[in-house]
Amino acid sequence: MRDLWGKFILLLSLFGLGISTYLSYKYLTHSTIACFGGAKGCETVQFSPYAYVLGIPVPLLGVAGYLLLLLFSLVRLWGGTPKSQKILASQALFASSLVGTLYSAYLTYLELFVIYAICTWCVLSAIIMTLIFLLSISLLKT
Amino acid sequence: MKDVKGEAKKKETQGKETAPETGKKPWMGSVMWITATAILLALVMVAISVWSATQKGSLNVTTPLTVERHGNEKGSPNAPVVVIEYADFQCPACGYVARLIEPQVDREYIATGKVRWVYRHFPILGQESEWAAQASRCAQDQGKFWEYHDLLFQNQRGENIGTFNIDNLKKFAQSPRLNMDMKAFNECFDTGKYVKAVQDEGIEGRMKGVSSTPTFFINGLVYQGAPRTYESFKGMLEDALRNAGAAGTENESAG
Repeated sequence: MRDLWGKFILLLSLFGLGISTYLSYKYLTHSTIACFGGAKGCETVQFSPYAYVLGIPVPLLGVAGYLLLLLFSLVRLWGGTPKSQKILASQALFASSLVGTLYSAYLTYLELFVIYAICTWCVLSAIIMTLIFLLSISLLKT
Repeated sequence: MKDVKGEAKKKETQGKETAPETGKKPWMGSVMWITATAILLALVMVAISVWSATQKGSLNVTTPLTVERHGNEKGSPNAPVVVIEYADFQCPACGYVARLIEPQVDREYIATGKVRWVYRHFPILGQESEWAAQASRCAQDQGKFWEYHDLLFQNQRGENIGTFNIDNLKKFAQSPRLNMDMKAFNECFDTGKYVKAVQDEGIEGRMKGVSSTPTFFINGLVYQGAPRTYESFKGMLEDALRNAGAAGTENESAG
């Protein structure tokens, strides 16, 4: 059962990586994002002062985060990994997805109450991150 | 105590044997630490983001300064195409134009002498729109209309929520890049020097048929709303340039 959750996390991380890679590409080429469902929400968010942190596009943080999650879930699923390291990998999954979830919550707050625009891609990523976090809890019990 | 440490590994392999003395499961302690560290890390990230946004939000407008700018117009007075934009500093679509479309128009059409761009006030979204328009006129007094215009559009945060209240408008004016005489600016604003002028500009817009922002007059042709992309706006400008070229030769032969 737990391996199944682990595989789910792997799959979700891939989805998240796809989304954040697409958004990063759009940010770095200064082109506008195709925003499904939400008119100009993505553009408004993309060109708000909150789109970059210390000059780094926010979606690039997502790429880094999802790559880490991908790495940890691969280590955990790999048959040859010793058990103690599997535990470490589970804890790392839990910790990094918790950071990701909290940060996504902050970003969603910005969209709802500060920028007043919803970027559907960003919300989707926040949902994926939260799911990963919830699943990672079930991996913790050893 | 030594035993506990040494046998930690054994316990794992043995499985369900927990530490009965404390009543806690062995993995819980470390999870608490991990959780605390993760929350702390997230807080630090949020703090850095908030700080970074205020830094960036204050000044980072990529408009080339080579563009000739006087008053609330920019570009060559002899440009074949004149764009008049009726806008409101609080209107999101106007902000979209200012942040996404104008910088490229500046580079490709205004700096090259093909387009002259005129900004007209059409404050329809409430008190903060009027204040912002008045403040921009005070900046215009010191030749800093466009710099102030860029700053306001860069800092749009929502309508009538205090973003463009009097205090903030003065704060924006203080930004070092504008280098304005604050005494003159405050006096201009506080005495309501341009209250009537801004209202009159709105009325003038209404008389020209403007009902929403942004509304563009490109060589007299009306376009309502923000163009979806720079490319679509470019198309409009190219059409106007072509027509202006044709009209120009006609006029020459006539005169």
